[in-house]
Amino acid sequence: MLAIIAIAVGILLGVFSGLLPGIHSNTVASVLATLPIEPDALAFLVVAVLGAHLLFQFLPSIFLSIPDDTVVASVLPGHRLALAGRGREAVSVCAASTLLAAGASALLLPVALVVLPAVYALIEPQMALVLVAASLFLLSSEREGRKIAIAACVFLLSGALGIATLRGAINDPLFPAFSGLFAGSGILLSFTSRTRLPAQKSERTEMDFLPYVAAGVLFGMLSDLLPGIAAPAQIAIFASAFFTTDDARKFLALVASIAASHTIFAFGSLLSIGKAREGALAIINEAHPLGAGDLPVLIGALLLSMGVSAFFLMKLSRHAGALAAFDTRTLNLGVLAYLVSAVAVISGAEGLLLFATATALGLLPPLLGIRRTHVMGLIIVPSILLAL
Amino acid sequence: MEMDEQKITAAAAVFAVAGIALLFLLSETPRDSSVAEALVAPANSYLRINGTAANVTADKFYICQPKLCISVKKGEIVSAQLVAEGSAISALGRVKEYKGSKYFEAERIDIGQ
Repeated sequence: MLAIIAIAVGILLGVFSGLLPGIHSNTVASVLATLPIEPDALAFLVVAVLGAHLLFQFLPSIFLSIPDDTVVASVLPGHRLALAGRGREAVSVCAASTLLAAGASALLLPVALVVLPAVYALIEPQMALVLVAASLFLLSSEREGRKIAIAACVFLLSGALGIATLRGAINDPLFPAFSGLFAGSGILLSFTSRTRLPAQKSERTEMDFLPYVAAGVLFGMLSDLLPGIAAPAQIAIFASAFFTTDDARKFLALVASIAASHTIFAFGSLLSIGKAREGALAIINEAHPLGAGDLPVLIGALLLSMGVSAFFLMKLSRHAGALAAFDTRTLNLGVLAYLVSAVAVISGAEGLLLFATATALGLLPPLLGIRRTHVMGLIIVPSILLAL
Repeated sequence: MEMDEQKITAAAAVFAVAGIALLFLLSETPRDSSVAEALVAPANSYLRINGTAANVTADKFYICQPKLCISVKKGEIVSAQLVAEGSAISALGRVKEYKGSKYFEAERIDIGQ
């Protein structure tokens, strides 16, 4: 009974953190850890927060183009679909992909417990080389020499911003950084046109994205081997260079599956290689050291939270049409005001400087005619230095 | 229109470079701090703290002012070789956090300051 109550409360908190950009599931988990809650209930609470947050973070990303660090790569294709009146379809692709990938990852988890240590031992000494090679591959996807040179400059500039950010004393630095790079710059560019978010069509979609879900499960497992910074987002960006598709739905399926699979396999990496790739899992592990025997019940709670959240997410997305009442300029001004206030409260004055700098940097790729993904140098360059 | 876009691009690039430089400057400029401020400062804050060494062991010691203390670690060097109990010291370094507790990772320690 206690478990059910903890899961229900966790889902509510996860919905809240998913809908409010800037409130990370790890933040909720660390606040919960300071309360006098018994370790078993805390584990169920945190796992339920993780599951609900994973699903609900897609709503601000798709309809308002505000990114969360785990699924930052979904912002551009998701919002593009919303602007074409297909936001509900994007939500249903993300929800279906998350559930399918989470289910498949849970089934593969026993295999991961054996495979992850072996693969980690193989990759770990070469991690910096792997990341450099993947970055070069990403840059070469521009194909023209001039564009590759521009992309390299933007990538390195973003890397410098990443290093400055992570050396500084800024609370939750990825929030102002990603919000500036994607939402801030996108909003400034959108002021040149005056449109409305169109009425949103039905959520019905073709299930032709299953191969991308399968790929996402494998890439998500890989992301649990990478060090530190926003690994699912890095893997999604690298995967996008391999899986070129013009279909935004398929790309969304890939990103959502990577995030879901990363969360499930994070349990495997904690137990097999001792690396808690999810901050929330580290918090659970501190209060109640996890063993293999805890996995079935905690993974079950996580899947339950995801299932319930997906149901309510689809219900809530039906009301997204209400956003069509505002023209995008008004809506974007509101989003910008929210972001500036949230950054000021969460990250302070230096966070505002970071947000403004990241916004300026985020303007460069569209103005220079290169892919926006090169700004992910922000997390890739520091990861390379971390792995050296 | 083409010209405007070029100006916007140049302005964005200049602003981004200036912002990055300023962020680097802020992250590398130490601030004089009391132990109390260090204990509530965000992780990674770059500070200079003056105080008295206490509870010196091989791998760490405390810098106190006079009753409030923060644990100080400095690389591979044995603490006892650096400072003696009760010596006046000035430590330059960054605030770090481990399992919710703050400590100070010193880059440089001056004795008798």
